[in-house]
Amino acid sequence: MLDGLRIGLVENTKFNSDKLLLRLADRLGRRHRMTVAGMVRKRSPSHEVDEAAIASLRKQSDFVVSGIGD
Amino acid sequence: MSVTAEPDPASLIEAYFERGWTDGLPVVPPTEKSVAEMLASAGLRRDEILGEIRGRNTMVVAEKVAINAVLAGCRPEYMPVVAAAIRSLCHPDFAYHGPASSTGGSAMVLIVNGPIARRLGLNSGNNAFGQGWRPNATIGRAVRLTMMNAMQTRPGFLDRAVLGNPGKYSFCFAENEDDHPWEPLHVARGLRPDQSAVTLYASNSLYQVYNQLAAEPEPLLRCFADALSNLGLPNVKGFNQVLLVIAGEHAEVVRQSGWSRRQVQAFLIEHARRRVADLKRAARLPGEPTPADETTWRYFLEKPDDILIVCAGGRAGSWSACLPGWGNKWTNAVTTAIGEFP
Repeated sequence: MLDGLRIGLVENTKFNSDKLLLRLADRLGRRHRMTVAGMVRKRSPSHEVDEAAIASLRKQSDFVVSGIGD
Repeated sequence: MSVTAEPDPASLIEAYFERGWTDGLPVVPPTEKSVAEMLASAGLRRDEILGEIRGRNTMVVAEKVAINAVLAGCRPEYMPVVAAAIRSLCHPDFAYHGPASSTGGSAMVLIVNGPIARRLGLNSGNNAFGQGWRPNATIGRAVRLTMMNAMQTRPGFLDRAVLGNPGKYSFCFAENEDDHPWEPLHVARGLRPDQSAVTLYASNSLYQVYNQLAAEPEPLLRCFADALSNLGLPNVKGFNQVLLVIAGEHAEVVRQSGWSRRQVQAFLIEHARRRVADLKRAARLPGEPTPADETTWRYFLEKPDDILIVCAGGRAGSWSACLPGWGNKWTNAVTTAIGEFP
């Protein structure tokens, strides 16, 4: 059921947020043959994901992971 | 003849505790009348939207704010200040989610300027951050209760503060506009002197700065610059806003020197800095220090307008304060004009 799903990643700009997300995506890829559809970067951890990024994530991915980092 | 017993005030107060609608202190149980008076005082309709937090699907409705202002112990005439503070809270530049929910646990500092501060008797003098003044205590409390009860910002839920700080109960004071070396904060931020305004600022902490010998701004401001560049500050990556509160004797030193606001800001931009090697040794930046890091400076401040300077506090004593901002330039202070109603 999880095999082959496309992952959207939301990076919140904190230290190591991108590394954490990519490592998670790598594990999901090896375990379930998932692929990274794209990673968007928020303006800051305090801001919501902008509308254009939401539209892009909705179009390209089957689910989204939002990382916090630090 | 039917007799309707009035609810016992003490049991009402306990009921509010039981429902989690308080900040841990007793509240004033609202009535239809007290809420209506609160709304009328600010010229607000019951269903008026004061703001929206888009990321949370939260609309802040005037009636809810008025209820929380009553709960906090506000008098009706305080409501225009509370309403303006809520508008600041919902302004996109403030970016509510971070300062409200972060592990950093910031206080929502409210600085009130203009005629309304004097009319309401807001304290700007001795003990300006402390206890004893009803408008200071209850206006700030009304904002925090609104955040908890109308904006889902409850401890352990969408308020994830590790420690929080005592300013989270209430942090509201007026600027001392009479003893100011320059124009007051709201004028520096584009309003007229005869307007009333509230400036909302998210602060992680409060450092009192002591200097009893400085007769010129330079040594005094070195103390501020040092406090604004300590190794434990969250602001290592970005150029955050900071708030300086200069009190009586220190304000006098600045006034007599003739230094302008811009000179003070420029001095702090130049001196609030640490060597990259120090930041790496303290694991505030990744990696091992290199020889070049020993002579490379990391600056904490960038733009003069990011350094908010106000005057408040007693005239006697060598104390001032600096309040580093929350986050890494992820929120900005917001000043909102306060409507005055007859």
